Amino acid sequence: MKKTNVMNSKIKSNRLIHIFRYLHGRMVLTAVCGIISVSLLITGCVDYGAEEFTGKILPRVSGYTTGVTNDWLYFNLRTGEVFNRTMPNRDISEGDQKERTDWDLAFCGYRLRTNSGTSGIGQGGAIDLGYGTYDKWTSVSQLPANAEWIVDTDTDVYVTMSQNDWNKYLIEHNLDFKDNPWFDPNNGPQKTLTSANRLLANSMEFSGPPPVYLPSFHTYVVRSADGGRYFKLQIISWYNTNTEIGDTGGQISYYCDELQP
Amino acid sequence: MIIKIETGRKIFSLFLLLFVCLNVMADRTVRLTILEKGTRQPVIAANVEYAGNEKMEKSSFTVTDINGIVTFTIPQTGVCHYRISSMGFVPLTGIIDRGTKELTLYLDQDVMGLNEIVVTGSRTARPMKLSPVATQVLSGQSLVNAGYGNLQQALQQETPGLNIQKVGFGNEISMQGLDARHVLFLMDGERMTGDMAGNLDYERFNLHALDRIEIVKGASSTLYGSRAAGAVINLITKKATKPLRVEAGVRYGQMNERNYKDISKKDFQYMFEKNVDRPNLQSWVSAGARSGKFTSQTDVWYSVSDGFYLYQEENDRKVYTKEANPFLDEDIIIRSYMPRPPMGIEGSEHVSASQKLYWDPSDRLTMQVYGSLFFMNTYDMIQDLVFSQSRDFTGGAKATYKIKDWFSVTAGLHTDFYDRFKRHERRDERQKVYKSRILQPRLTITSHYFEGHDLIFGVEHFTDDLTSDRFVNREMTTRSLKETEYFLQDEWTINPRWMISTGVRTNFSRVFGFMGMPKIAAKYSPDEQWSFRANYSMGYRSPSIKELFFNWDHLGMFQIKGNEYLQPEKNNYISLGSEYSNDRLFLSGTLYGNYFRDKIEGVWRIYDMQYNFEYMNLSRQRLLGGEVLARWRMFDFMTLNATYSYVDVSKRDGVQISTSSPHAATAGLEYRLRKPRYRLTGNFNMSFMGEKTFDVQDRVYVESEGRTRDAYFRCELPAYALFNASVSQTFNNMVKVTLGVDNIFNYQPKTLGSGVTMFNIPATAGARAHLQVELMIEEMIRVFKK
Repeated sequence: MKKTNVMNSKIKSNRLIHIFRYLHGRMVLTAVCGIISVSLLITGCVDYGAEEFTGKILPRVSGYTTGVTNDWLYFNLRTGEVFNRTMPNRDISEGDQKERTDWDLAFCGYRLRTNSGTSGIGQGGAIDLGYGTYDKWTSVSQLPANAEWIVDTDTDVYVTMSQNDWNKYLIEHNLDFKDNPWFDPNNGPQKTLTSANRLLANSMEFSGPPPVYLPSFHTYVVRSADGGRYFKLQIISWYNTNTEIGDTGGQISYYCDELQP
Repeated sequence: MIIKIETGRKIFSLFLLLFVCLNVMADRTVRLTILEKGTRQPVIAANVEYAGNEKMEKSSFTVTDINGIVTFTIPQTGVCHYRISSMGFVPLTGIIDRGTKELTLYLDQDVMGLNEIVVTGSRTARPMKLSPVATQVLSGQSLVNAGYGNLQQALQQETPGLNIQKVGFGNEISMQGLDARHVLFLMDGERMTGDMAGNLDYERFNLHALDRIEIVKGASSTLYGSRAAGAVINLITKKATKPLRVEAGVRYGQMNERNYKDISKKDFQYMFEKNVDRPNLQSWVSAGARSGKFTSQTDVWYSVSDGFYLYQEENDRKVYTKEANPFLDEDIIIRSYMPRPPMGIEGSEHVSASQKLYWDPSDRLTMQVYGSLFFMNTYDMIQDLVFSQSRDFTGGAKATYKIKDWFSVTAGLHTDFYDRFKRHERRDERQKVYKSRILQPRLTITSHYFEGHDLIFGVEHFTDDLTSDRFVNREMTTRSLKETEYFLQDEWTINPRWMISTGVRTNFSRVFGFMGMPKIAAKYSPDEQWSFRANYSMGYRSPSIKELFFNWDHLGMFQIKGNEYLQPEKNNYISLGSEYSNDRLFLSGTLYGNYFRDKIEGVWRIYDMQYNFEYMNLSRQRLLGGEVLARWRMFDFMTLNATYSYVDVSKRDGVQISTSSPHAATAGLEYRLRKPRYRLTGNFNMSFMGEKTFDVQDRVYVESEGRTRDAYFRCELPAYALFNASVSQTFNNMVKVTLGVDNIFNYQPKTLGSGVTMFNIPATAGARAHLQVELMIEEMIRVFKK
């Protein structure tokens, strides 16, 4: 009886070891397969499910990185015409925009102008319709009747100075370059006031380093220079969909469509 | 005929003798059953040492089977002294009475942790109590039991003076007033690469694969070379000791913050929106098997964590003190007129796997091959259409040949390959931005030829290649560092009371030439309870490749510049410590001084019409500190752990650049209940960080002079404490369920830092609960087989 027990115990033990080895082998195999699957999922098969972007993209980067502080891209939303498309101040120089009514909206970096107030003689301006809900707004009749249209001012919005313009400023004011560097690690690059729309300045917030451009995803309405047409606007991203990896951005992606009269 | 009869008698006599002997031997066979006290679970693979004398001379060894049973023959003397040991249990000694044939013994869990075997302090395995270098040991199992979800959290909650903060580039570890560049992380004694300012991807460390963590504070450069100037944290992974050990688990935690709802594929940032709202989920498998001469250990871990934002209530405030800026007539306070933007704490998704194979073909030869892989996606909170990916492969082999009982040789080769990528969020493409490789062959010789002396001699070569686009014109360029080092150490056990460890390391590299680093440590133990330790060691840190060769222009705003003329920084470390322990109480206190010279620091300087961040051998720094560790087993079911750490870091010209707090403390209360087929563990722990005050380089406009000047503003961050609680229940030794809450009092930092670049805060989303289920699969198989 004892012998039988010993035999059974040995057989059990051998079986167990066999099972252990088998299971361990299986587990290692399963684990390796699991790892490969998950790794592929993570590294190779990242889910690129986003649909094609149907909005608009600025034709070029504008703002201080081009070497010009007030480098504005002007848009006539009524005709689709774009000014300064290829280089700063080519079609409309800084200051000349004030006397023109053939533009409705302008971009300099993430700052915006409407043809109103200190920026232009037009009847432009902007209102904020709140977060998201871009598709909900289709008609002028939906706009709040008592909305206060915000016009441009030159005392509220700062733009980043280009390094060239800062150097010129130092020379003009006889200031020391070493004491007044263009970029300060704790405060960022030098800034200056400009004429722009303070409401639309909220459409994107910048912080850093590292540089972070955070759109508000609010839907705004921009009134045309002639005061007769209305365009809804939503800033989507500082980057465009074709941005190369490592690109610093600046070609803003946005939606802009006319509201039905 | 007579001869035949005599031969027959002799054969008969021999048979008779053999029969008697067999009976006597059968009488002397004893069967021991070793069970865990409380739960009465069998202790598998426990080591049983037995001998016929109390001194255990010429002892024999055996191990328990999967039922915790061992059978052996009592020595001829008829008296049997035994010593039973198993990892995590208090060793048990005793005598087996004559005539005893069966005996059941119970091992008690080693709550005090005084019987741990440590290797880091001396590169040889010895019980913690006998190590001349003080070592703190954190058991992997107890960290999991305490409900920690990752290594960062476990280290911060359990280690005095260790702090992991969120800074601009990610995680920043500090310890005893030193930053990550002076804390060397090792995995099974081997280095890793892929660091950012000394900080590795801490996600690489699988908490469930750890057997224990050994922490040696102070300079250990004699044994571990560069970077071991402040502390060494050695993560020792599990190795199967049983025929089979398989555990699997899953952990689910509350989300940190929901940022997006109703995500649509039409969204421009579709992938970003998905990635920043991830569950806090982990799963893992740890499988070990041991059969004959082979041992295998496999560990796999998958984890995903949720990103979130931290918010600052008030605008930034900068204080320019007269102390740090002697040109000022009085302190200046400047308040930002803009609110501080929220700080994004990135989420991540990663998988790590490791495989170790051991082969012990004979008593004299042991061999090991190992490899691991790691993939991680880091989902930052920046909407820039890219996220980071990193991957890492490590591998190596080791072999030890015992030429004589007193002389053995170990040869090993270790490699680590680390890559970092940027991956596009709308297009299926990625770009490599960082590549790092290390290769480290090592040969060590150990000898016990001289009585009482443990000698170890080693030679190792270290090759470090780093490829980055930040060396030359934004093109991927490789820079290398090669060092050859020799070390010699003697641990001399003069008598049971006195022990002295002496060692020296010489280092040669083409860049830095020869260096020599000595150390001496002594331990005096007047009795079983008390021990006193004294330690002097010299540490060093070679400049990193980044500090030597970086040359990166940030959009024309500023430049980060390496310095090829940097020399290694060196430090002298002195410590005095005492330790008291009995069955219920463990107390340890250490006082230390750490004196640095030629410390490498980054400094902002203006020239070429812009700011330049340069590395320089700048300063001397003195760190004086003390540390207390206490463990008190108040009752059999309750243990209190407490630590306190103090450090005073010297200022340079009134400027404090160390971002550490002088005060840090941890405390933990553990409740244990052990019943047959049921265990209950309750943990309540706290980590406290004192107020931080440090100076940050800046510029300030001085009205009296009508110009701006280089200046320092003082950053003051308030003290805080984080509390965690968890309850863990194990049913039938097969299923363990843990429920816990991190940051139970919902602490949220109100200040993120000061200035644009300076963050220094605990990355907590507030009180979050988690549920963890673990399965002990081998136990299930065992029960099923029964």
